[in-house]
Amino acid sequence: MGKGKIRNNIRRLRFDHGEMTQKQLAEKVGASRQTIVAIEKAKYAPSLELAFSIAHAFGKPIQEVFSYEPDE
Amino acid sequence: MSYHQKNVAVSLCSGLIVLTLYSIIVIRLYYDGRFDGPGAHWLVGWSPFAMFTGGIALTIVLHILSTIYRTVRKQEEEPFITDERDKMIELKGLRFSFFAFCIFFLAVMGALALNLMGPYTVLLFVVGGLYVAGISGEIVKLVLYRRDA
Repeated sequence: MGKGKIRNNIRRLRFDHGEMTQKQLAEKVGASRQTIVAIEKAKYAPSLELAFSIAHAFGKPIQEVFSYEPDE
Repeated sequence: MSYHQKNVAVSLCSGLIVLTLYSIIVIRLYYDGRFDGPGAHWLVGWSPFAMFTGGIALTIVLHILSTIYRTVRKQEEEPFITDERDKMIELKGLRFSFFAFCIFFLAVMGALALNLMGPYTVLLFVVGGLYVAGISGEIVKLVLYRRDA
């Protein structure tokens, strides 16, 4: 089974939410700013709990924030 | 650099300092023939206690100094948050340390089996190996923090 990639729209959603900073989002979801940076750059795949927290912070369903791209 | 990265860097510095001092002292004692005399078992037995006590004290001092420096320089307190990514990096560092120590331990035991080293020298290497493994784990943590940032 190949490893897929988890993409996200966090950057756009932050922009849509009054240019919310990474620090503000980190404080909302109880993570560090560095973790938000890593998730935004798709270098770190968050746990289901953190992914739901981020989606909840934007008031969106999780599928609008994260998407999964399986390897070919 | 985040709070955790700075902590890892401080631990790495203290580990390197302690390991260097330990190596210098042990090599000097070895060449003085202190590990062949009657008090050799006492010296070998006390070496890990001295090393770990010194290491803990140095780490505490370096942490205090780095915290003072950061507070004075930035004039703000950084939030102390340990999230899932920090825990994952911590675990990966620990796992690497464990494997590094296992390889080191097997290599040293191999040297003992082949009669390349005496038992006291092997014990000293094992004690040093604990610190080498710890340092390698800190390096892995630092690399993981830098790579994902």
